[in-house]
Amino acid sequence: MGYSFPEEVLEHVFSFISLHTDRNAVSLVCKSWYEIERWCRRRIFIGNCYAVSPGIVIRRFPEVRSVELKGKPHFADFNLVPDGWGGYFYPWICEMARAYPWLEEIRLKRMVITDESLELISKSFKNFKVLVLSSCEGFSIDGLAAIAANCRNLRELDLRESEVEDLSGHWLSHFPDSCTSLQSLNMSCLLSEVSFSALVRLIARSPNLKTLRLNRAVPLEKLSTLLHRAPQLVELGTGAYSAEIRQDLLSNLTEAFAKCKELEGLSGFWDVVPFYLPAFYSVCSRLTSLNLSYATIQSPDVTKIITQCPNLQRLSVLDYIEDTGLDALSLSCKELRELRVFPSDPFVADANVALTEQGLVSVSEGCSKLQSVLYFCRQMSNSALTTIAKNRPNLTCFRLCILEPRAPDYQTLEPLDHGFGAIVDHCKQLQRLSLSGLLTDRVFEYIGNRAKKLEMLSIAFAGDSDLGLHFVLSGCESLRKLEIRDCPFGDKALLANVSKLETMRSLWMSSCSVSLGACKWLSQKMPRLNVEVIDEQGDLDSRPDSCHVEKLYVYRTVAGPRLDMPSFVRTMNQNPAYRR
Amino acid sequence: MELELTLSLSSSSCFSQFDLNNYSHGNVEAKDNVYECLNMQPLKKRKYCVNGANDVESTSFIFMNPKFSGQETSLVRWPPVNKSRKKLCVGGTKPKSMFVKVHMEGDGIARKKINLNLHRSYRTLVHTLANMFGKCKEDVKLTYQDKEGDWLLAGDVPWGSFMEAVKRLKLLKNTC
Repeated sequence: MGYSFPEEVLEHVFSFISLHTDRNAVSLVCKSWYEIERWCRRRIFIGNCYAVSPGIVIRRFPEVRSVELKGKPHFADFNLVPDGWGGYFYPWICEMARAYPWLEEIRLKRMVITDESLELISKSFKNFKVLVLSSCEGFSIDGLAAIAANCRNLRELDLRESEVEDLSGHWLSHFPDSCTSLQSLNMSCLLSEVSFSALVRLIARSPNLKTLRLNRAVPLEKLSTLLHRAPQLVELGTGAYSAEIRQDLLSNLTEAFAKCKELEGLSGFWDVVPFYLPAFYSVCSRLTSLNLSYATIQSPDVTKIITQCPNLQRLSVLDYIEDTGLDALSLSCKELRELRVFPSDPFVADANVALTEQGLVSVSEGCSKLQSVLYFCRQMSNSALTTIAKNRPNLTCFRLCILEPRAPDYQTLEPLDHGFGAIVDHCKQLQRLSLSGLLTDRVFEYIGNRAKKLEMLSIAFAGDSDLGLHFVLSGCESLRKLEIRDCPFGDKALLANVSKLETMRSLWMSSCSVSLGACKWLSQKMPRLNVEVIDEQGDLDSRPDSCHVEKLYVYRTVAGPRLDMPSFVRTMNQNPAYRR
Repeated sequence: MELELTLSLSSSSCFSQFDLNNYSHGNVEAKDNVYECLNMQPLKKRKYCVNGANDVESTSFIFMNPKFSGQETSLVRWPPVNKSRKKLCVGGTKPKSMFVKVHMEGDGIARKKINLNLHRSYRTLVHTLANMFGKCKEDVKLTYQDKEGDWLLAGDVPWGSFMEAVKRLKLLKNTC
C-alpha cells in the first residue's frame, strides 16, 4: 500500500495543525502519518514532566523548536507540596542541549531550574528566543545574567510569579548593546532593585518592546522616563504606584501615559496612592486587560477606573471592589470575559468588606460574554448560584472559594449541592470547576451526571463518603486533573475506578482517608501509573497498611517510577515485595 | 511470601451492579444496592442549630485533629492563596494568637492553654474545651474571668465583647 499523497504534501498540510491535541490525533491515523508527523512536529507540550522521559521525547520528535513543560501539581501553589518534591529541569536541559541545537523556546511551569541550567540554555541554543518561567524556583540573578549575556536573539523573558534568589548584582547590564530584539520582559516577581540606567538603555534600544512588567522596586517617579522611551508598549506592569503628593509628578505621568497610544493592558499597582490614579485615565478606553489585584484601593477608586473601561475583557481585582463596584462593572464593561476577585484579608472569618454573592450575580447578569470566574467571598446561596448558572450558560471556568470551609447556604443553611448542580447543568461547556462550601455526596452525583466537558475539578472539605468520589471518577468523561484535599474519600472509590486513572493526567488527594495498603494495591494493579505517597512523618516502611497516607499523587506515565524522589516521597511499585 | 491484602471490597461481580443508571431519585432499591456494594452507611442529614449568627455549627477554621485528641489545629494552608498574595495580606498569614489559661473544676492544679483567636463562637469553644479535658460538652459549663476580676457565665454577651473582656477560663461540671 503506497502513500495517498507524497510526504511533502502531507507535511505541508500538517504544518497548519498547531494544537498539540490535534497533532496527537494525526499521529494515530496510521504508521506513515505517525512517522511524517513526528519529523515535522515543532512544538511539544508535556503537561507532567514525569509522564515521559527526555530520551523518549527526543527519540520520537527530533526536530523540535519549542518545548513546554509542567512540573509540580497545582496544589503546590498553596504550599501543599513539600519542598524538594521534584520537578527538576536539569535532566531535560542536559539532553535537549545535545539533541535540539535549534531550540528557540522553553516554557516551564512549577519547575525547579538552577543557574547551571540557565547557563546551559544560554550557551546551547544559537537561536534561542523565548524563555517563560511561570511559578518556578531554584535560580538566582546570576542565571538571568547568563541568559541576558549569551542569548543574542532573545525576544521574550517572562519570569511570572517565579521565586528568584536575589543575590547582589545587576543582570540587566549583561544584555549586550547589540541586543535589540527584546519584545517582552516580565520581571515583576523580582524583589530587589534593578539598575535603572541599564533598564532605560535596554528599553531605548528595543524598538519592538511590546510588554514590559516592572517589579515593585521601580519607583513611580521613574515610570514616566521609561514610558517616554517606550510609547509603543501594549502591556505595562507598573512598579510601586506611590510617591509623595506632587502636582508636577502627576502631570509628567499623565503626559507620559497619554503618549502610549497602543496600551491595552495594565498591571502592577503595588502600594497605590490614589492621587496618582488619574494619570492613566487617558488609556482606559482602550484597555482590554486590567490587573488591580495588588492594589489596595477602596471601592470608589476602583469603580472610577472601571467605569472608564468599556472594552475591558479581563479584570483581576481585590474584594475592596465590593458589591457596588461589581454592579458598576456589570453596567460598564459589556465585553468582560474573565473576572477574578481576590480576598484582601483571607485569614479572617469575619467580613472586612461589603462583598457578597450579590456582586457576582450582578456581573453574571450584565456581562453576557463572561466565561471565566474566580471568586473569593464569605457567603453564598443556592439561589444565587442558580441565578448565575441561568444567566451565564456560556461559562467555561467557574472557581468559587467561600473562605470558611463547609459554609452552608447562608439563607437556608442547607448544603450548596443544588447551586453547584445548577452550574454544571446549565453550563454545558464547563471545563474547569472549583467547589467550596458545605457539600454532600449529592453535588458529586450532579457533577458526574452532567459535567461531561469538565477537565479539571478542585475539591476541598466536601462530601460524605466514597460515593462522592465514585460519582466523579465514573461520570466525568473528560476529566484530566482532579485535586482533592480534606475530604472523607477513601479506598473504595479509588479502587473501583482504577482504569479511569490512566485516562487522566493526574489525581491529587491530601488529608483524605486513603490507606497505604490501597496505594500499594493500586500500583500493583496499574503498572503504568506512578502512585506517589508523600508523607513527611517518616517511617513509612513500618506503618501498617491500614494507616492513612498524608498525601497521594497518582499520574500516568510511560517513564516508570522516577529516580529523583526525596525520602518523604515513595512510588509504591518500587518496593520489590509488591512486584508481580 | 505474599501478603494478602484484604480491603472491604466484595468480589468483582459486585461492581457490575454498580450501574449509576440505576441510581436515580425514584429508584430506592438500586440506591440500597449501591450502598451495599460499597459497604457504606447511607447519607446522614447534617443537623443545624441556629441561635444567632455566631452559633451556627460550623468548623470556623478549626479542626480537631483526631490523632492528637485535645489539641486544636488551625486550618492548614487554607484558603488557597499563593505566596505573593499572602505577602500582601494586612493581617499576616496566621491569626494572631490569644492564649488564655483554662482550668477544669476538680482537676487539681492542672492548667491548660487555649488560643481563643482560633474560635468564632461559644459553641466551638465549648466543644474544643470539653474535648481537651475529656468531657462531653453537655456535662460542662463555661465560665470566664473578666478584666475586673469577676467570674461570669459565658454565652450572655456577644462574642466580640467576650473576646475583649476575657482573661481566664474555667469549666464547671454541669450539675443540672
